[in-house]
Amino acid sequence: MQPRTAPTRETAPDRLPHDALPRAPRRRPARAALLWAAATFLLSQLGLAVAIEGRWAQLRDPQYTDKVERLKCRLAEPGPRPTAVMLGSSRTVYGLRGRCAEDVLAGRGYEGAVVFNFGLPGAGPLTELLTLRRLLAEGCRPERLLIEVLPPVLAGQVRLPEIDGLAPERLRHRELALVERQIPERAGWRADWWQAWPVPCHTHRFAIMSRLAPGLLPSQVRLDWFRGADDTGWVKPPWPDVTPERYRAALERTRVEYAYYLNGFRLGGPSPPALREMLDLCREERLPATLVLMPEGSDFRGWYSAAAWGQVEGFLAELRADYGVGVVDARAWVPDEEFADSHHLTPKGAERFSERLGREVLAPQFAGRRLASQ
Amino acid sequence: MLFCSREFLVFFAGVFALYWLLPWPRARVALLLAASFAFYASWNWKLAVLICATTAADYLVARALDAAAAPRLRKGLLAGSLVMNLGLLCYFKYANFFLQSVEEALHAAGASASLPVLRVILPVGISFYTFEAINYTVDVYRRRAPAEKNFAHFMLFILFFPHLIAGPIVRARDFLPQIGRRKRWDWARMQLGVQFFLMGLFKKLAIADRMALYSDPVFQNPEAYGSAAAWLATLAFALRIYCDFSGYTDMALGSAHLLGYKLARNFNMPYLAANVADFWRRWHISLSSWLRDYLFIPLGGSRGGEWRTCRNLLVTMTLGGLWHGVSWMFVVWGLLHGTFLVLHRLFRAFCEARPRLDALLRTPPGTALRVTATFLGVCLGWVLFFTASIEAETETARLNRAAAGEVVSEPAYSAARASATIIHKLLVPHDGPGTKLSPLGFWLTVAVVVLCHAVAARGGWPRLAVRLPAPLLGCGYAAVLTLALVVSPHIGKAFIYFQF
Repeated sequence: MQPRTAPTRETAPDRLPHDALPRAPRRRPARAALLWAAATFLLSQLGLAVAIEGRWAQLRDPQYTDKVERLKCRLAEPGPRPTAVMLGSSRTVYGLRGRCAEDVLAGRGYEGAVVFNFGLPGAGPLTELLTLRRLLAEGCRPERLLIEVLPPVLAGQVRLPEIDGLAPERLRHRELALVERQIPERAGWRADWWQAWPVPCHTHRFAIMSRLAPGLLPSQVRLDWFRGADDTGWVKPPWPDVTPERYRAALERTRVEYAYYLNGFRLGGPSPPALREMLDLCREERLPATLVLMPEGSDFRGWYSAAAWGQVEGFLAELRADYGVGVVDARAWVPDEEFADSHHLTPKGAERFSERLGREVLAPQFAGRRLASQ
Repeated sequence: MLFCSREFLVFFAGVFALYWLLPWPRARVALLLAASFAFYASWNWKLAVLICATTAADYLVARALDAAAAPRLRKGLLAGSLVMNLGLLCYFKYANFFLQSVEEALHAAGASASLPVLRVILPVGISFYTFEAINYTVDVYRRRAPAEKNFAHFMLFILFFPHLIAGPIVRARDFLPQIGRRKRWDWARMQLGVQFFLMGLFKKLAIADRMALYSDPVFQNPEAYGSAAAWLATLAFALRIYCDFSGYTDMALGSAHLLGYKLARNFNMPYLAANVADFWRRWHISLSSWLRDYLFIPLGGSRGGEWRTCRNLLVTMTLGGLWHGVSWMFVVWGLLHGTFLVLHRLFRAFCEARPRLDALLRTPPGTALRVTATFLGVCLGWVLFFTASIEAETETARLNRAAAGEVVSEPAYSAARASATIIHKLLVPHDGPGTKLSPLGFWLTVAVVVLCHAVAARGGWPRLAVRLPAPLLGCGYAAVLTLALVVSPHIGKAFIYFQF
């Protein structure tokens, strides 16, 4: 592991291994090697930066790209078909099994219906808004949009982790204006974005490694989870079977995590305006939207104070009145034993929720549409 | 500013460019001084001023020592310098630790006492620059080196930023003559500097930080894992601490070469050592040689017979252990290595009296056996060392919070308990969960390190450098840099030796 020209004599401090060599012959290769190194490195970084802007966009935001590629495939299937996309957080990621909802819809004559799970881990209204804009810009326009509302992140008395979780290097340049407007409390978006570019191989290293050798990355930085998703965007949860001990431990972690939002809950911050902007966009695009409160266990539901829940309900009522959107309260749709931690569903819970969503929400929404068989 | 951070690279690029653009040697020294001060002040400017003040005091003491002829005066001056340097080291590094230890001892004896917690911040690198100042003063006292007359040069000897934070511990007689020497741009030297820096960066980002993923979770919560995970974590830490510290040293050596200076070599493939004495000739060479010259030999070295030699070895290594940090487990680690050295000394005498056994141990299989045994002994020491590091880190944070007036809980991490658990699991098979990461990454990294060692041990790198055409060599440098940046699993993980 020692450098190959490592000095060997401690007693001659300024003596170097190459001192013994004739001067001119050793100088030229050294200069050439260093210039080649600099040129190769700079050109490779420039090439990578250009590639990420173009053909290798999946390295910028692999989770989004993995999902949108699947969605595009589904939307490209021939024939007219009812389509619904749901945006949301990790609750949606593990909670909506599009295949179950599609089977229910098929049973009602909507064969070939697409119910796509576009949940992203850590997403709140800000990420949902960014995702919706990207989807529309890429021509992915479903007939129906379901938007998960995660009540705790409507809290305005704390700084949302989503604000710091949004990595500038995962944004496109044109999206900077949006985040600057939506999140004025975080400064330096543009500076951070530009600083991420000079060495893209380091900035996007987790994305690169997630493609090349995901097994070498710790789970918390892996970005390849959606490569294992089914064609409706649902991915099997990575946690093992839920035992009572594991449930109790997970519940305690969840309680600590959400106490941050729910202690002294006061509606405000960047999430409510982002939700409104999303609904404005839907109205502008004539895209029917429905707000969904995802299932929560009785433990989780008990953590809201009456005052906090009153504020959430008041805000949802305002949205319903202002935009005419439907609000689906699915909080009590799933029994406690089908949760991993009182807010993430097990596969069985996801099946129960998805079937009911298909039966009670999507089927009526598609009711005016011609059946596939017709 | 970590050597592998963007801030340092920008800072260094600026210093490097300005340094070589300046045509005047004095201006270059001034630039390096200003840069070194800024480098330290970026962490804490008040403590940067403190280093300057103690350096000025050491400079004056050394000048006075040089000028004085009376032995009593010279002894007094030396004692004053030692008291100042060691006093500051003890105050900043050990005061709270000793106060707490006294308090615990009083509690154990049934007395009720609450000793104060001092509000001190540990100056980064204090253990390193204190030893540099001491070796200079002692050398001047012994008339082995003249006192430096140029204050700026002396200041640069202590403050030179590549070695300021975590060594290597430089000797005045090696470094001071380099300052006055005229520096000329030399492409071959630049190449050498870049090689060192890239090698260090690769060791830190690609190996040490990766190994931390395997070692940290197990050492922080050893009860939760089985024997397989304990072995993996121990081996991972052995690799991590070597690549972390030698990676830092390589980056320091590389930065110094790029500015026309040469620092002492600090590592020489230590895990190929065939015995513990050999290990200490290869590991943290600047510290072990310092301990030998300024502690072991003044204690009497190996001059006073077997018993005194063994005693001196134990004392030297125990104090060397304490130098590493504020945990009694560091003392135990030092004592363990002292014991190993004593045992090795006795075993060597035993073998010398039995030529056949001696010859057998010098055969290739015998050497492999000795290397393996030494490595396992060192790994046993690393268990104590890492648990001590975790304890020292958590304890320092706890005491800082206490000093700031916060209510703090009792220490949650016990190095003694953690190391006992891990050693028990290493020796007695225990079922239990393994690490969450795939062991493939671990073995792949081990394979890379073994391969690099194998090539280096046969002198393969210099041959490769001579034979490879410049374009290929340049592309190789770029590939190493890219690989280090891509496979790095962490952001800004500090070097282990920064806390010392």
